[in-house]
Parts: sequence; C-alpha cells; structure tokens
Amino acid sequence: MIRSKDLDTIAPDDPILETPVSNFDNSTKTKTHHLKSSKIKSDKDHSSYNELNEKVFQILGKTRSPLSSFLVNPHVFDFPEREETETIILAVRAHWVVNLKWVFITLLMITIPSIINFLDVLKSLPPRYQFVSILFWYLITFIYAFEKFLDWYFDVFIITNKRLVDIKFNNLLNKHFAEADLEMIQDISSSVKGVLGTFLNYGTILVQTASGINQIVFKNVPNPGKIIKAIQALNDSIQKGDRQC
Amino acid sequence: MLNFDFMPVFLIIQKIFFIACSIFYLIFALIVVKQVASMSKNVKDKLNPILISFSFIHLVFAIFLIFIVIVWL
Repeated sequence: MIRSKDLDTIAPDDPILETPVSNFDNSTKTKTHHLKSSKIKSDKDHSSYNELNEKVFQILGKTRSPLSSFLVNPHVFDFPEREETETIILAVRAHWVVNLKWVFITLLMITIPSIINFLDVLKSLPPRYQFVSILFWYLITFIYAFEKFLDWYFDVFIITNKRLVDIKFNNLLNKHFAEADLEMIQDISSSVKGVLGTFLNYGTILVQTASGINQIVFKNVPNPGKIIKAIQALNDSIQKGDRQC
Repeated sequence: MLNFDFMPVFLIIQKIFFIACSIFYLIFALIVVKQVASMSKNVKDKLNPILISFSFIHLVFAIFLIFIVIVWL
C-alpha cells in the first residue's frame, strides 16, 4: 500500500515506508528560494539605503575638521539613546562665531590683574594676599570660559536615519533632551539673521512636529539650508517607504 | 585718643572671606567634575577625555587654593 508522503496529511501512527526524499528536496528548494528572495530583498534595501545615504551626504558635503561644529557621518560621536540600528547622519553644534563673545570676555578677564597691578590697587595688601586674590581671579576666569565652552560643546542637534534629537545643557545643572521621529515632522523653517548670520551662513531652524513636543528649535546652526534639505530627503524617503534599516 | 590699627582685623576678615570663598569654590569644582562626567556619558565625542581631565585639573587647583588659604595666609 502506498502511503502518503505528505507530512501534513499523514497520521501520527502511520508507518512511513519511504524516506520522503522528494519532499525534503522540495522543502530545501523552498527554503533556498526563500533565502534567495530575502537576500535579494535585503540587497535591494541595502542599495536603496546606500542611495539615500549618498543623496543625503551629497547635500551635506563632507566635514573638513573633526573639531567642526558640522559633523557629517561622525564615527566617534555617539549618544546613549541611540538604537543599535540607528545611524547618525549629522551632528551639529552652534556656529563657532557664537563663541567669540565669551572668548573676548575671557581675554578681557585675563588682562584685568595686569591692569590692577599697573594701577597698584592691591598695593595695600601683603604679597601673599595679592597672590591669592590673583589666583582666585584666574580660577574664576578659567571656570567661566570652561563652562561657556561646555555649554557650546554639549549643546548638540543630531539627525539620525530615524529621528531628530536635541540635547541641551542650559547650564551645568539643567539637561534638556528632545526627540522627534522623522515621520512626525510636519513643517521645517529656518531664519538667517544679521550681517554675521548672512555672511557666515548660520541661523535658526524651527521644526514643527506632530508628536508630544510641538517644536524643536536649533539655534545658530551652520548651513541651515543644507540641514533642511537633508531632513526633507530623509522624510521623503520615509514617506515613500523605501527607507529600511 | 584710641590708637587702633585696623589692618590686622581687616586681614583676618579677608582671610575668613577667602576661606569661605575657597570652600564654595571647591564644592563648585566638585559639581563641575560630576557634571562633565555626566555630560560625557550623554554626548560621546573626541574631546570628552580632555574635558574630563580639565575638570579634574580644575578640582586640583581648587583644593590647592583652599590649602594655601588656610595654611599659607
């Protein structure tokens, strides 16, 4: 009696007379076919992802210096909230020109002890008191400059392939973290103000989102036009559904 | 007529003032170290080790300041 070789129709206690070679072959074929199709799909996704990356990097250009405030595809830069599959496309800090104000104030503060010394203001104090006063002053100057630098350095706007992230440290004790998925972006606008802003090409970007955080503002970022184009390209790719990863 | 020299009193007041300021400064330096470490965890970049080093050097100076104010003045 020829019994069914189909494992779906065979009863559990039915003896199997022949090894279901052909069936095994079929399943192997199916599996192979499935693997091939998933590989093709993966290759397609990968190529479309690479195309998107190329397009975005073409818009943004390349980072000239690792200390630049406009870091395209940074290799060292990272943040703990990043998912494993998430790629950082751009990390932006405020334009370097915004630092000039505190640099100037710091230089002024450095020169003050010399002026005081020249005017003999501390002359009435013993030399040790004079030394400690000046040391105090230089430490205050250092911490002023250091804190201003930290404010600039840790105030970062990040574009990944999935979302926009804004990390801010308003002062040493306040941290602000805001994020918006790229698909939640409704409107993006930018404003470049003043002679310096126009001349050095930096400005403010305002992102309107449909998420809990209505607005994300990035102040004094370099190349606002490029950033908006990159966000739009990423957003378009999500809308079309060809973004994978 | 009472002839009183104000200078020693003024110096003592100033020393107390320096001690108080240097204690506050030391606390501030500790907060800076803590915050720089915390920020470096949140935003990882090339300069983070240098900034952490600077915060520690600053802390050393703050300790040095409190030491010279108490011992040397």
